[in-house]
Amino acid sequence: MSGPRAVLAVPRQARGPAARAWLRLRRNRLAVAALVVLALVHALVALAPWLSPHDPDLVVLARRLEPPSRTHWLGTDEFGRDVLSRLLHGGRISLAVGVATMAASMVIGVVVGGLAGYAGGLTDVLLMRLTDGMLAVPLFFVALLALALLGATIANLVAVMALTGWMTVARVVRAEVLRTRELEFVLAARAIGCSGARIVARHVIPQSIPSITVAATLGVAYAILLESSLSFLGLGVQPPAASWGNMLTAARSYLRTTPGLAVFPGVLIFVTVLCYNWFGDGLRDAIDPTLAER
Amino acid sequence: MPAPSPPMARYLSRRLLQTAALLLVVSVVVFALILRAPGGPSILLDRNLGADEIARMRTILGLDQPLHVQYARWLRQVAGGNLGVSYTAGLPVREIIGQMLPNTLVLSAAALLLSLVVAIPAGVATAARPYTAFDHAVTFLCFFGVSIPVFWYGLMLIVLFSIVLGWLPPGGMYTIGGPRDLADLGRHLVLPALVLGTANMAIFARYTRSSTMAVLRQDYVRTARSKGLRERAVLYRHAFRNALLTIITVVGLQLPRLVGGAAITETVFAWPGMGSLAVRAAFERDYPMIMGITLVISAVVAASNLLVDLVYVYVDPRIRYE
Repeated sequence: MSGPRAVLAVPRQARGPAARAWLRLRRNRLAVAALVVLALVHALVALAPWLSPHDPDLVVLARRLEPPSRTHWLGTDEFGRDVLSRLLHGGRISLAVGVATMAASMVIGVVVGGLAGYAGGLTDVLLMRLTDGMLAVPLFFVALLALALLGATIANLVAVMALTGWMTVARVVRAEVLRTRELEFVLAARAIGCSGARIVARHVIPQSIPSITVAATLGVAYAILLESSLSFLGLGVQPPAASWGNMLTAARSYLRTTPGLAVFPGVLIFVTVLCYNWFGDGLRDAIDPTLAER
Repeated sequence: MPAPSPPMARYLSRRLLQTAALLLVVSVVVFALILRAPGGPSILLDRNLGADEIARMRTILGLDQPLHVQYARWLRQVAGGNLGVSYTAGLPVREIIGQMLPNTLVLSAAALLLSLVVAIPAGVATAARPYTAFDHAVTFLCFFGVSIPVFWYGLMLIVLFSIVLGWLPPGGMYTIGGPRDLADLGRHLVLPALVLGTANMAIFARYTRSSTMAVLRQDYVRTARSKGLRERAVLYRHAFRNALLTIITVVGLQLPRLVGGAAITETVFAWPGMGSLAVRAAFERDYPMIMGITLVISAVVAASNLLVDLVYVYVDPRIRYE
């Protein structure tokens, strides 16, 4: 036996699953590039108040629909507002709505999935019936009706999107809980008298954090797309507040004369969603390399 | 189709019962949503109406009754095959939906067909030669397909093909005053079907690839190859037929979203269908219309899901519902 060498090799192997996943992720160039773009977009949007060259809501009717110039890098919109400043500020709302929706649907999904998986029996049957039932209904119609009836405030928007978007997470979490709940350390926790709630919260759910992270990343992409679709129907973030979705909707009337207005917010939504999807996909492969084949 | 065997009939009746329960729940939720929401039908907002006239109209429409009484009345109507009368159009809801639903079905079917026709060969081809430049290119395009905002994509296609090139009409179903024939419909259908079908195209291609790849690793595929079958035959007759089951499942899962996507696509292309009807009804608080649309759309999706379940039996002789 070559003692010292073997000992030296152990710490590398023993690194945690998160560290190993990170190493695999770093080798995926597309995922890294997506992460860099996302960091950039989020930073630009977060710094909007300091980066914006103009007040995003300042109406200058004398300078409507101007082409890009040195004062207005991306031109002006139908009210003479600066497009670049509105894109930066609108991005804050679009991304905030996307992230908030994702967070809310994760909470619902984890609670439903965790409860179904751990409690089992009738609870499981009822909760999964609910999940399957919701997946079988054209929820976009229900969301559309709910927002038109209740009013399209940002709070309602996030609530409606989260209430119609938690099912995938619930299924993922339930599957993970079913896998974990018979493992030795969970049995040990039960043996020393931990309560069911404690076991789920402290021992079972943390095991599914990798899958939840992947679902969350893809969930942001979905929420941004959904907000922009609802905006298009006049049910998203309401003007005069800017969001990428409603800027695009407003630009629709000027397609023939100023098509540029529709290009910028569309490209931003597209690129952001694309990067979230790429990053989420890379993350999934990194966390579970056996899935990369699929 | 052969006559359903007794176990099949039992399965069908159970599924129909489940569907009815689902529709009932959806209708209760939407009904409660409608009547609990602030504000009222737009026809009651007419400024020329006095307070007593509005009160009288509310009585006529039954809006002064408690929620459960109104719901029971609606349910009794529906049981009799009557969906009520639209507040704003003044026509029976059934008649209006009867005109609009076929348009939505034509659009959805065209989009579904288009996505399958493109996605299946692309998925099988990439599964046959994985990790090649072609495979990477298709994967790349698939990510584009699921990430593009539907209406923006539609608008950009309109700018390109209608405004700049002038090849295709920017919207509508038929040319106004033109011949209402199939060729005209087809020209109007190209862009909306492409827009509605793209996301599914990407999803179906991914699943076709992964399930075909999984099947290609199986022993019987090696056997088929070793007895000297052409690669095409191995791929399509042996591998793909088994991969098809996954694809059918995914198609079933995507149906509700397809109908939802139709709502946006119809609005972008001014396609006279259920989507644009729903948006208008929601804004006008046309309660009978909203209820009718919800019920019909949910029923159509449920029926298509049932159809998907039956298709399994004919695709895979191993599956029996008992």
